[in-house]
Amino acid sequence: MALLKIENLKVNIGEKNILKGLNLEVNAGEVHAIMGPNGTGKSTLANVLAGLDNYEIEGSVLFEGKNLFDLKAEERAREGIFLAFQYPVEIPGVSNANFMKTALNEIRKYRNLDPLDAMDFLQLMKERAALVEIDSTFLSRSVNEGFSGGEKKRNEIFQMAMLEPKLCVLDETDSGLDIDALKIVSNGVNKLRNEKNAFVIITHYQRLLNYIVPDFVHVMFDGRIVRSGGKDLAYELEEKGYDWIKKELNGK
Amino acid sequence: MNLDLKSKFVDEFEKFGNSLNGESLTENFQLRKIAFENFKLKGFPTIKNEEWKYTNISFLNKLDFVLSLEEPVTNITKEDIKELLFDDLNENLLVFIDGFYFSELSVIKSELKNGLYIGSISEALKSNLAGIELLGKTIEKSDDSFTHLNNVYYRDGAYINIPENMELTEPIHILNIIDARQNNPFVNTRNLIIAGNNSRVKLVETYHQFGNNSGFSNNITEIIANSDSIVDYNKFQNDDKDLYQVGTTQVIQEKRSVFHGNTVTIKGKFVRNNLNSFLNDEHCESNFNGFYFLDNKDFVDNHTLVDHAKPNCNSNENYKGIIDDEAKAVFNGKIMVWKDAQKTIAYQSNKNILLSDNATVNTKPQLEIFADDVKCSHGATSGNLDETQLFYLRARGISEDKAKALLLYAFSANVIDRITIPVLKENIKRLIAERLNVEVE
Repeated sequence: MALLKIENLKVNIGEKNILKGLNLEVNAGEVHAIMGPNGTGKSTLANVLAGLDNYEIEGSVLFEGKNLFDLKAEERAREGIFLAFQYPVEIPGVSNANFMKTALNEIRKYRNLDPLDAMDFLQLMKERAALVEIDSTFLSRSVNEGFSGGEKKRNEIFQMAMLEPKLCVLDETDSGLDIDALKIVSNGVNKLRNEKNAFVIITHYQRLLNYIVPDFVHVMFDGRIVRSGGKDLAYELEEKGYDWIKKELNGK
Repeated sequence: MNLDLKSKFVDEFEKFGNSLNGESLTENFQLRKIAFENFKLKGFPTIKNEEWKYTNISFLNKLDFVLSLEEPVTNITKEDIKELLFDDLNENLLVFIDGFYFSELSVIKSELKNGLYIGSISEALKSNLAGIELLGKTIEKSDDSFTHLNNVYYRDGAYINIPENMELTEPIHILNIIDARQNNPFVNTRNLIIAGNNSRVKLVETYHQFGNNSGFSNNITEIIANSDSIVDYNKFQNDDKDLYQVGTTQVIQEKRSVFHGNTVTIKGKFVRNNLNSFLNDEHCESNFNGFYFLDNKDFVDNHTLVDHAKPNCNSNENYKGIIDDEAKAVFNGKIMVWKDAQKTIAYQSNKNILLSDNATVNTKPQLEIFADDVKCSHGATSGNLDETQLFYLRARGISEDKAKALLLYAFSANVIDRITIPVLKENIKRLIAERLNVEVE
């Protein structure tokens, strides 16, 4: 069974059609990159998967065979879906540690596991923070408050490392990152990759894919996936630009 | 016969005068008489009075309040008040029941020497202690009905005098108990706190009712912060009985003094807090923080005034509230900047989160600025929790209810964290966390 199976997904916001019949299948152990120009619906796809509910939705999305639209955002997270946000939210007054402890224990409860005790939790947190080279003082700071762009993105990957999801959707995690931060983030992702989880990496540029090598590359245009291929497709896009796809589509 | 409360309280005065025996000849009694005439003239405020526009006290006439004028005979024990205290505060404790000091329930830990006094107004008046002549000084110009009424009928309260250069490490907790087990007491208490030059004192004021009748507390706390003193004043209200509270805290600040006023109400049937600070000399700092967390039909009104009379002073005011069910909050923040008060920096903010369609808040900033070289800002908001924050938490597996509770806790922590007595801060945070059912580190 596919980990994620999207069939003919159509998404509207009010009168506006954002996704116009999108198909995608992701299996455990795979890394998929979704590329495309701005405004083609990439982030909408990410938000729909995570459970943001201000959309009108048609079509079907199955996660491990379960209808995703029967699940609330928190239930999807507990089932193992993780969205690394393009714009991580600042939450003054809630510490990273308290946030992660609450989240982890909610997920463990859902899976009929006992909550982690304070010591084990602290140990886990330190270990996972090291993965994305986060200083331990950061853990007592409020979630994303006063963080630089790079720190926010690293925090997303840290959270991913803490919660060990099955499906990780990275929404333009590379945007706004300098080369050092990009390497740290990619490194973190590569260490988390295994045969049981899968990644959907949404990106505008090929740059990130130098560090996280995808198994599949999909090009999204006007609410659909218009071309799929291997990692070479990303290089082709980088070389020829998105206009190449547009022209080809118009030619058809 | 069903007299309105004003008439009843007016009629009581003659009898009260006679009961005071010797005192009726003193100067102090003359002040009571003047206040009596003022109260008789003014009566209780109605919603036609701008300062009481959103705060309707017409219930006063429906409840059969009885002035508490005699020291009550009480069976309240130390054991009974244990649960009203904060864990590990290590405080000097002054206990008042129906407005009268009970030394056997109180605990004075600090050594009373070098001019330090922690005790009662009645004792200070009787012994004519140094500083007690300042009683009433901060409210001389006040023309507020409840202040007049307090002036007429107060019998006792806390008297605290911190001598020059002393830093009192143990906080002082003034615990006010209103005993409404037998009748509906109307209690007038008066506190006077004098912080000498370059002294430091931390105060905690709480109110609790015993019994299920109705009680009324009309309190005035006068604070004189002399030059270079630092006064931490914390008013904490967490009573779920049928207790009506009107309290005025009147502060006079002298040169370079710092006043921190924290007002936290996490339960209250009817609460009106007036917090007024008069910055009478240069380089003073006044920080007002407030938090209210109301549900059911709770009502809380915070009326504040920062009066900048002299140049180079700062004031910083930050009130936040969570209002649920049919509860109602009022915030009125007045800032006066007089002509001489150049280089004033005054900041004010009031933020509210409404959790129900039937919850209401009336918030009103009132800035009156007569100086031309000042920095003043104010802002007020009321709304719901931030949807993007809620979604972010839920996207990590946290249920909607828990996510809301976490955000509300964070909203409160922003104010509570400013409380400068660490043990008190932790106690209050724990109470709020329990109420919200969130776990905190």
